[in-house]
Amino acid sequence: MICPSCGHDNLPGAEVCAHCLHDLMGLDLPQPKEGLQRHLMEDPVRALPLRPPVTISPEDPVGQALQLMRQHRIGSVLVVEGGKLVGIFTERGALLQLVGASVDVNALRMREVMTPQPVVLHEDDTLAFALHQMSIGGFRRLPVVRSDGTPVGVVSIKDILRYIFTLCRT
Amino acid sequence: MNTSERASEGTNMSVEDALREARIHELPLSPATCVAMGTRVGEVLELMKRKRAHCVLVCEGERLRGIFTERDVVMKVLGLPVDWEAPIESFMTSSPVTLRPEDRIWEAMRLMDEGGYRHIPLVVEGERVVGVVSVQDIVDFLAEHFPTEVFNLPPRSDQVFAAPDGA
Repeated sequence: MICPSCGHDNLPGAEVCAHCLHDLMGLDLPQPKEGLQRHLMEDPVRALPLRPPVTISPEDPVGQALQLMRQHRIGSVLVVEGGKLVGIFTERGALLQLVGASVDVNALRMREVMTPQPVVLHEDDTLAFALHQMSIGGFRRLPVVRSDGTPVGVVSIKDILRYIFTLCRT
Repeated sequence: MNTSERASEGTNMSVEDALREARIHELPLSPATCVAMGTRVGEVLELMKRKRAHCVLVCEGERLRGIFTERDVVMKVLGLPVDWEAPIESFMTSSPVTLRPEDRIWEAMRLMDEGGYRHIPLVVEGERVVGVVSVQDIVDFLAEHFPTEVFNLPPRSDQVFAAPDGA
């Protein structure tokens, strides 16, 4: 156990340095893992460049959601009622709900095809937590909401991978 | 070394070392869904829905010719005045970027980040398709490399239990 003050090599577990009496308490406590693992376990979702939410009302037609997704080149729209997140509609939902029986995308309402009460993240959640939610649920993007349910953005898997990539390169 | 062996020694291997060193074939990849050139796009959509596939690889024999993904479903087909009888090659991305199973996971991440891809077909001997690696596979790999710590952490640092759970 090297004293950070004078460099003396002390016995493991020493409370003070035998050479300079520098306090060594805490030096042998387990520390959080270094590097990427530490970043993922400590950095909050708000450290990511959140994509601003693209929203739609539950009474709007599905065709409008498809248009928004094309226009913004995004994979999901958030369904918002009274300022609160009530559902999400994703590319996956589009494939599963709109293929098959002849569907009129201009008659079908968002309420009928959205995933209601989706899994959400909060800005203080850690990136590790976000990754686990995505892994467990098979989600590629998750809405981020304030404690009152107001949507503030969307986090995609690719945002997290880019963050990891930037960390590993520096 | 397979993924589970690697995970079991997770304490002495950092996440970034695992990412840099592990190869794509060590991931538990799900098999690729392939369709032949000339398949009707309507049929491809039905197939993707039935198999819950995120993408299909378009092949000529065993040779890869293109890829068609969920994103293409929304960008190019649904709610648009397109002919669902048209062949898939009118909608697919031709000659997509590919990797080999022995390439590093790191390389897949780099390509996905730079190209914005979520799926990269895996080929051997030039163009013969053997599978596909998805961004989801990489997230599962990452999540597996620090499972216990994360499952034991509250999602937010202020969210600690005041009393023992179930007491």
